[in-house]
Amino acid sequence: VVSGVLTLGAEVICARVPGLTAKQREMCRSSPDAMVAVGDGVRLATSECRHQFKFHRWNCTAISNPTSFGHVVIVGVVAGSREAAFTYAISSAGVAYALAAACAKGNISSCGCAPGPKVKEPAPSGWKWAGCSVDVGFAMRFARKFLDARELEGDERSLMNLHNNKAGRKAIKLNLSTECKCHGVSGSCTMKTCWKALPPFREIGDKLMKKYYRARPVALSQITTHVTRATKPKKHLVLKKGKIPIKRTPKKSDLVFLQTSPNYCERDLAAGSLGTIGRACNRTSRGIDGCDLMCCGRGYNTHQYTKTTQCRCQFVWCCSVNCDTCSERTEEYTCK
Amino acid sequence: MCCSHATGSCKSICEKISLVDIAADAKLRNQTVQEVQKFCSPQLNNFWECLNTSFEEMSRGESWFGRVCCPLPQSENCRRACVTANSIYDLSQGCRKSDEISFFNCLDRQYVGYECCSNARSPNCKEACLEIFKSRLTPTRLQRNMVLEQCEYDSPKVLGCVKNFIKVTPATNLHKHMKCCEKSNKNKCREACKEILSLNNTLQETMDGLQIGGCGFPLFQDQFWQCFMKPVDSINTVEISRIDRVGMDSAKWHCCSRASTNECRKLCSKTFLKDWSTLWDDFHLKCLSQVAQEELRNCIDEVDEPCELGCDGLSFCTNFNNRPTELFRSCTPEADDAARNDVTLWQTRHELTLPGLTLPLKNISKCSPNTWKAVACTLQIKPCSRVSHANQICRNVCLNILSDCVDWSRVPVKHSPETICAMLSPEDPAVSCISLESFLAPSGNTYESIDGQVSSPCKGDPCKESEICTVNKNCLPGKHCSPYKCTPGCKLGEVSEYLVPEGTYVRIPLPNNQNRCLKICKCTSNGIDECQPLPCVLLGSCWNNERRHGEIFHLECNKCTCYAGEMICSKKQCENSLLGGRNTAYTTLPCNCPPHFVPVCGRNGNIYPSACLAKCAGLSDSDIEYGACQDPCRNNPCAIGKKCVPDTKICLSLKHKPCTQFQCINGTANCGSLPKEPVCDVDNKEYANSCFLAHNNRKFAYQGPCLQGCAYLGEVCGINGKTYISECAAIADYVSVDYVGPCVTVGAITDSKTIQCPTIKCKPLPRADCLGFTPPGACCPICGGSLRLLYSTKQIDRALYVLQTQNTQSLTLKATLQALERQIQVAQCSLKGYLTVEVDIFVVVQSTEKRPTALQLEACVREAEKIASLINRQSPRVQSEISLSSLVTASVVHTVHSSATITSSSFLLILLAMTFLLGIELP
Repeated sequence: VVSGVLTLGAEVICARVPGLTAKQREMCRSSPDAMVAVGDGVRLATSECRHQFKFHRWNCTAISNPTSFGHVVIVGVVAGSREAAFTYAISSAGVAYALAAACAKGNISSCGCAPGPKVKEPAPSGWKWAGCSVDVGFAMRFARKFLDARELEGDERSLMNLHNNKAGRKAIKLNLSTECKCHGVSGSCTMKTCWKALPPFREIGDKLMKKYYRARPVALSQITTHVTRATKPKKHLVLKKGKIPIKRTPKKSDLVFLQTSPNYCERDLAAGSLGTIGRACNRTSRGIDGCDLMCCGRGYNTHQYTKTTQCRCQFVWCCSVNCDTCSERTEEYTCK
Repeated sequence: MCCSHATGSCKSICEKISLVDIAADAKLRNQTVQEVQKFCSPQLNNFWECLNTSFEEMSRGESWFGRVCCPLPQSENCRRACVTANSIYDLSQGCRKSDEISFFNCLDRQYVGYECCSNARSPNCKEACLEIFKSRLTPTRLQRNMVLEQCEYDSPKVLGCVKNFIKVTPATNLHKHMKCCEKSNKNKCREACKEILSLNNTLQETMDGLQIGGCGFPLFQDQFWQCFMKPVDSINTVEISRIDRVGMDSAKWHCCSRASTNECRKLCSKTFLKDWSTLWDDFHLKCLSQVAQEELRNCIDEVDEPCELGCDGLSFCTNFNNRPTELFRSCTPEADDAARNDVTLWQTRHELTLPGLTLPLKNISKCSPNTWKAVACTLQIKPCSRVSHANQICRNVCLNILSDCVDWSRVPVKHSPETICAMLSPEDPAVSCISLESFLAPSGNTYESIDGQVSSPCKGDPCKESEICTVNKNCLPGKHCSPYKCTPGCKLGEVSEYLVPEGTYVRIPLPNNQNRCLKICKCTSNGIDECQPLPCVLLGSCWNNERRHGEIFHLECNKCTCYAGEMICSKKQCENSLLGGRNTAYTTLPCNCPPHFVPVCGRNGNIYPSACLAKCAGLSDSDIEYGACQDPCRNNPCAIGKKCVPDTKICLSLKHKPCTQFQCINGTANCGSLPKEPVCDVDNKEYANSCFLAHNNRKFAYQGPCLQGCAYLGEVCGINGKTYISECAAIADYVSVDYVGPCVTVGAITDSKTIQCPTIKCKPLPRADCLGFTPPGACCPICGGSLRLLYSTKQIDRALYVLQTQNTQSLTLKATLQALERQIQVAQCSLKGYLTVEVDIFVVVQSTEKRPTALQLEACVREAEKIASLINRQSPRVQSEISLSSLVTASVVHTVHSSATITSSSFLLILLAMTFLLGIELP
């Protein structure tokens, strides 16, 4: 405890946030303004993950944990599974996204607009790179330093998490949108200034979902460098074909996982599955959100109830709104 | 775990067992066993075996220090491993460190406690010690005192290692965080927060209170805790990031007051201060593209694309070529191409796209093709109107072209040429607009061969992104040198492209500001830095609201303006006054001072032709020294060991004290480490700074680099009434030569271009019919664009108050003239000026050529008009720099007339006035 710190601020709070490694605490103390953005990023990732998996058996309830900071939670996700891969990637992407957005708003002391020369691509004629391009570089560096500081072991789980973190950050970098402002009144927009901006986070979520469907299984491999016998064999991940590891390394932007996921039908907390008892399902759908697949053949309960809503609302001058109440009988289906 | 061996009700009760709870409490364990026995038959051997082994392991490891951490792990496996563990090594199977960071942090803390407490000599002390470490929260006062009591006498080592854990910090000013209480979404937390923050306990107790009181552990995602992480000082003084310090575009921010609606004003301010990334689209749509916001749009265009003289070299918009004395915003090849594309687009698509509307066109290659081409070129190249620099096309043009060439049969009835032109063109025909007539045909210029006569070397910005282009004045034609110089500069904002050179003092708005308050900053090699807040200015009215801020009017013959509650007028002496009628003692000089030439030197560094005129200008007796501002070093004002080198300047405000006119150079100073401020000696040799000149024992001639193309020997009299040792010295001081030889007289002040002193022989004008003026107080007329500028001393005083005694170079006349000269883009024109006896600044833009052509003279006149327009419209270029921000109005005074302008209508009075004037001139 440092004496002389008299305000209820970053120093004290950083010391008390549960689930931070020493290095993360150090970063917290030195850049409290960036930590606020990190928190926003985690919130963003949480809601996006829930949105993307809303109609799947595993619905990403695992990602937010009120007793510890950290996106990885064992309850509700099988360690080393595809879902864990997505969880790490979306969290990493969310944090990088929020940091870049905070920079552009001037909320972080060590960054602002991307420092020039603005963009490496040459501008087509009539265009000019100007304006405030997001400082993706800063965001990615900070996100990497902070989130990767969690991985202490260096085993295959760590390597997988680091790889997926990177895939998440890359998803941000590769999907920046170009915004332009036209010059001139004629409306033909032949002269404009352009800059790189962040797309809506939903786009990033969608891209990462695609990567989720195409995630690759990997295994740990040790290579011995031929140079000297003194160098330790370096661990890294290689792709698997079936059960056999092959000599190819996975692409940096792909998601990787170590073990196949369970079907998430039955509740098995030790294995990490919450099961689908009590989940809402769609009777008429034939997809994964349909009652057949969602309930894993166990059947579903139908719950009939009267839904009351406000309808036929009218604006009365001045200034209130009068509504009627409509009620209708609807049904809700939940898995057994 | 063992539950997999059981089924049915036995299984469900098994699953309900909380391992962690029964591991901590032996009694509970027995209770649980009894419960389980009720539901589970003794036949289930595997089940009972498993359960017993678990219980054994649990009791074995009961005294392990890590047991208290067992509720923490996230995973079930790890929890199980914890409750049956005896030491840390038993955990390696079930627990992974990266996944269980809080758990391992807890174990570390317990280990420290275990080590520490094992030093205790008495069991009481040991127990009190362990109590301290058990809880994750701060030890309470009770626990702290227990330890102190029990361990004081016999276990000092324990006290030593426990000290860190029981240290608490008193908290101050917790009420400042009160607003964070509202951010929580839990009622319980909100209440607890308000209560605890008003108590002002120690920091640790406060945190504990908040955590237990319902706010949970501090997490970054929680907006409640985020609020505490943010700095809590008052909004105006906290500047977190570069964007806060310098703003997004502080030059364009000055335009925000021109918006005609409150909404646009606020949106503009927010966009340019901080929120550009999120608001620019909105701002563009709601404000910039609306016709009603023409003033705002014009002002913003001023920053990126100021109106500059001359257009040539275009391949499509050829009617715009050969116009060296007209103003355009973007006469560039890109704009030319864009115009060509526009016309092609209209021809092929047969439609005209306007904001929010698409009009179908007839075949425009048949319907006034010339006019359409002129419209496209005007929209891209943007010619400026002469005085107000406006860009809109006149309404009559709009009406004509739309009525003729739009296919009205396909347009919905509600639109007509009138309604559409009302959106695009100014309603009031008196507002200056661009009539296309002059662009429908090639330029009617009659100047003979323009090439090389007038050039703008900085056109097209040849310098790198962070460098500013200035015209190289010291490059004479024919010599081998670059016509422009690139010097490092600072951007006035993260997205701004407007640069100021290093060393300039600028005005930047404060972030989050309601009252348009500003601060002074300096452009250093690290960007905009060293900022200090200026006193806020209310743009109030004068004279009990009779005159609004910015209003220009005349009081008798004097031009006046109201600026932020300050009434600023020129101090011209009027011939007729409302009260007294014609003034019989009228001498044309202020205060009707007699035209005697007995020069005095003011404390502000300015020379006045007589003490009467100095006092009329506001100086008191103590501010005046007799004698014409001679060598400031003549009285050896420096201490022993230091050499005096002149450093003359004219301080624009009388509050600027002292206005030292010299520098004391230390004989042992390291000249190379001092800033580069070149000076020239009497032998026309240049030194990097005054220090080098002093160390080499040379005689100082003038500040600035040694100039070429002027005489460096032979006294001359400047238009400001000061005698200079050479023409070059006068030019280095931004002063034109009035006549050769020392100054001997003061000339009468009129509005014309006449020779005012009968005894002086003036140089002949390059062209007798040129536009020009006789500077007030000088004898000879000069050709060139002439302006009289009024400035606000209060503005200067505000800056003085902040800058104190250091770095007040920016508040001198020379700094103002330098800043104005930077606005001149034509290489063949230069700017000169001085502080007149009528307390205004006379500025003249003259041609640098010995025998200027008509075109060159005209170009310089237009440059002067351009500067007048910048000042009168309070352009952001003027408002951003400290040296220019005190200028309030400019009057264009150059004239062709060589005879006195007639103010009164009676011929007799003219005769009388003339005889009177002539009468005074007699020696």
